[in-house]
Amino acid sequence: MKVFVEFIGQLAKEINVSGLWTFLNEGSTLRDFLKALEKEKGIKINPNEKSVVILVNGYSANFPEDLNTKLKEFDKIVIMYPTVGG
Amino acid sequence: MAKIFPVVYMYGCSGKLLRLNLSEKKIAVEPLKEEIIKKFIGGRGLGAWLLWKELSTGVNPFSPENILIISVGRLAGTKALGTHRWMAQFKSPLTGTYFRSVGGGLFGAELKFAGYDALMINGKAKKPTYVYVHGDNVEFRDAEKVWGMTTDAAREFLWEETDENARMIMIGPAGEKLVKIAAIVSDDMRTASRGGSGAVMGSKNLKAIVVRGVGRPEVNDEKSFDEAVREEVEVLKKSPVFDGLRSLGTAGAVYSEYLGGCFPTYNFRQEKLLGVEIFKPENLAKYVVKHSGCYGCMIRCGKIFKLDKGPYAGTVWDYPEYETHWSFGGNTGNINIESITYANMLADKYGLDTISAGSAISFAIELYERGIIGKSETDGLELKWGDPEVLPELVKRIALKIGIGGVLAEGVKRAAEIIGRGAENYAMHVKGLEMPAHEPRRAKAFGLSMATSPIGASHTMGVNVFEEFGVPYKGKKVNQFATEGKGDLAKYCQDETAANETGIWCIFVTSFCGVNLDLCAKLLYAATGIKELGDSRNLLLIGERILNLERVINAREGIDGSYDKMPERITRETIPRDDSPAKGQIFEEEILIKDYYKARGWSEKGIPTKEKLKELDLEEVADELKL
Repeated sequence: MKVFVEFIGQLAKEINVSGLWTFLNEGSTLRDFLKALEKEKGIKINPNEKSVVILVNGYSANFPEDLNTKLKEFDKIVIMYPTVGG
Repeated sequence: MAKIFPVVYMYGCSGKLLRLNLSEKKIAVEPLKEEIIKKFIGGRGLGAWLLWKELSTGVNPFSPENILIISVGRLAGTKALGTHRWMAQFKSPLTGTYFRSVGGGLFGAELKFAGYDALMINGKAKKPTYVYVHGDNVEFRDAEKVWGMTTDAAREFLWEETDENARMIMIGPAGEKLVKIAAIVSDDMRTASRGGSGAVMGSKNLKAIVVRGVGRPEVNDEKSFDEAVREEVEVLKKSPVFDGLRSLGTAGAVYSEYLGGCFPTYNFRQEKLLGVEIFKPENLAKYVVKHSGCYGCMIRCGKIFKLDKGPYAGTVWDYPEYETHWSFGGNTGNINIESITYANMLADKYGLDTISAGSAISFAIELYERGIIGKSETDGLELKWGDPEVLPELVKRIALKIGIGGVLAEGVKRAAEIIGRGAENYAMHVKGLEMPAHEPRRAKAFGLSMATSPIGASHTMGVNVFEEFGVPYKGKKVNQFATEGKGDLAKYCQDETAANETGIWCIFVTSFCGVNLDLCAKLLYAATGIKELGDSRNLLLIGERILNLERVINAREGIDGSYDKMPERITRETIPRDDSPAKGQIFEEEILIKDYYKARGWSEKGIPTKEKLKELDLEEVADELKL
């Protein structure tokens, strides 16, 4: 299956990537996705760092409990530094 | 000119209230009692108490009897971070309720330097007037020359007439024309914009308040205070949102809030916004040419945008905040950043609330689309979603009350009553205050705060990091869509916000960056030496006391729980957007409100009970209300 990952804002600038498709095995989890991102694209994201936010289809993932969340075909994952409206 | 006695500070505050009667041109300075400071601290608490004591029931908000209070917090003008904002409190011409609206910039600290914790303004000047507070002197001055000027022009004239280092708050043409969504604007274009604050100033023929202060507030225990300020700095530096706010302010959140389902579209119809990618922070950052901030702030969330292409090229102005990218952008289907920035500039110049103005425009577009109004009502203007040109035009027409603008200038609730023909179904407001850029169907406690707030649909009366950022509440992660326990959570968020606004702490420094009530208490105790203010549990209790008092001011006006109503679109229509995590959600109003009143200890009619008021040391209030 494939999922789309989008990088936003300063993070996109730093790694010079705004979005890409990642191919995963069926039943892969968010943890598997992050490993694949590092292995295949060389992009290392540490979800335990407080300064990174990961949205899966708009939901803000919490760590470590959401690392075992199963992904599905065409899921949209957004990775960014935190921002707030107000 | 009246000579006022020299500035003598109590620790951490001036301890003085300046009373200004515009009808009689009378000036009086009154010391604040320590008992009131212990009970309400300052800022929002002090203003609510003064309105309870001195505002007569049933006054027309535009009558000379309405009272306008401009206050600062206990720590304004000190070294503390995020405590230099100013607040306007009054009876709102838009909602008919008690109201409070908050502004930033440099004015708040200057008012403290001049020696005042609050200004209390009543009456009506015979002709356009501005107040000049400088050193120990206070003057009523002729404002006929600047009456009719936009805010940016007026400030230049007033600086020339007074002191180029003075700070000021003022109104533009919208406030003068009693537009019910008119704002008060500072010289650095920060606004206390909600509830028709600017129209209340206009109704008093008061163009501006210009202040030049020379004093500095002293603190009780400088060593402990400096330590607490250093702690504040460390909290901010470690905060995950500090860098984001510093680089692009609240505009950095537009795209991600859309993805998270918070950002409403098309007058809360919540349809997919085509082209939303334009709001990505890396794109908006291209417009930034300068940063700005409130007094002594290390976040500096203000940004200056420069437009160098298209019909608005050459515009250099304070950027549209998150809310304005929504109100002039997503909520009207407009994805043209230049048009949003230009309309935002017009709103600042004319002195208009961008949230309410944008809401009124999206309301009008929906009415036009549905055939409820046509070209005969819009003076030939075609209203359609996503039209970048119609926005600045309508902002101008609202501010100057031209044609359809004169109807929208009443706010969407009253405009719907004037238009009729079912228009009220598309008027998105609570208690007459237009809804902000936060979808209540996707965060139920947040929605409850909006529904039950004493001022109507405000997003800043119950700041909620628990549903927004997944911060655990009472040790547990909160399900944003669930209804269970949301009454208690909304109560906590409202009380904490009220406590912070005695500061008047900025919500970015406190709720978002993590300066918590314990640290606020440490700062307050070190500054004032008042032991009771050093206990965060007491601060939370004071927050609850303030919120209850505000609710009681409304009850005195006959405004009870029957006004805690969301628009039917929010309670009956589910969110349709496929790409929103909140798809299918509604706001379960009946269940949520019942739970909230129970958590508050209020009656089923949403009125604080005698027992609750007694518990909050407001027994005399209960007696006066004959509860």
